[in-house]
Amino acid sequence: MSELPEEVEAFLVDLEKHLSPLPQAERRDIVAEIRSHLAERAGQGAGDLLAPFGTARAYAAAFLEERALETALAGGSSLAIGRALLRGARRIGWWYTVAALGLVQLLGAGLLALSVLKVFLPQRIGVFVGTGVFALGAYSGEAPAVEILGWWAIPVFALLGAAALWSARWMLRLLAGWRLARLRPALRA
Amino acid sequence: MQALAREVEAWRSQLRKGSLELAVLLSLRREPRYGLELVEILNARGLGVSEGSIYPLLGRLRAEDKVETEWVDPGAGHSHKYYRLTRRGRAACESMLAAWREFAGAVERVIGDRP
Repeated sequence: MSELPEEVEAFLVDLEKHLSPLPQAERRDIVAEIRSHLAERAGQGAGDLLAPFGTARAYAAAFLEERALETALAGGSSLAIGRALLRGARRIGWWYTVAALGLVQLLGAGLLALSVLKVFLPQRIGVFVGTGVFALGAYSGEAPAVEILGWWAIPVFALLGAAALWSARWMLRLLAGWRLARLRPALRA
Repeated sequence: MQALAREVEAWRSQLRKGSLELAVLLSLRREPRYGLELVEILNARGLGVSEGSIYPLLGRLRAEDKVETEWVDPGAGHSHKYYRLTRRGRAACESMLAAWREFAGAVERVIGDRP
């Protein structure tokens, strides 16, 4: 095997490092294949060998995330999409974003649950207003408070809950689609 | 005008992405080939594939059981990882080709409607 320039060797070491979530055999196989490719291109007298590969991290991500994101998007569950998004996340912002969207989903599920509970506990569920009191959901405080929604609590909570669930899911799918598009930049522009 | 050229280029890029999988499967129909060989064949046909893009795609095709691989060492020089269509890959290739022809035919008919 011919000698490869130092920066190419460094790229291959980096690539293997960034492929670390994959099993060792698969990782080594990918690196050996790219090495063989680059060695042949070097033998052809190619100039900038690494230009078509981008950074080692981005290139590794194409192997790691594309499959995970595609599977999650096809499956459609918010949990799967969130996990796929976090799988390759290197920036803390992704964790905050996915966590925030997860909280919005929990909130949505909670509101839906409240709209059902209202049927069984009409006195306790709703929007309560009193002196120094404003409570949304279930209220069991000491201070006197008046429930202002009445039976409207059922459609209001149901709609708000559905809107929260739907919008968080929509955002997750949007982010996953965007990431997937970013992962496939390797085709010549 | 420059913005328009950029938009058309982005659209071309999408076309390329959408058809690369079919092009790779078609190129493997007759004989097994390795990655760089595939890039060279496709680019000789004018497809404009970047070198890096082929391996993640081949990896996915292998995960989907459409191709299988084998390292071949020709003796002198570099060993190569060859990709061969599986039965499933051949079937995928045939259905995708039929879909492509149907689609291309439909677009051609629309082009023919031009005044």
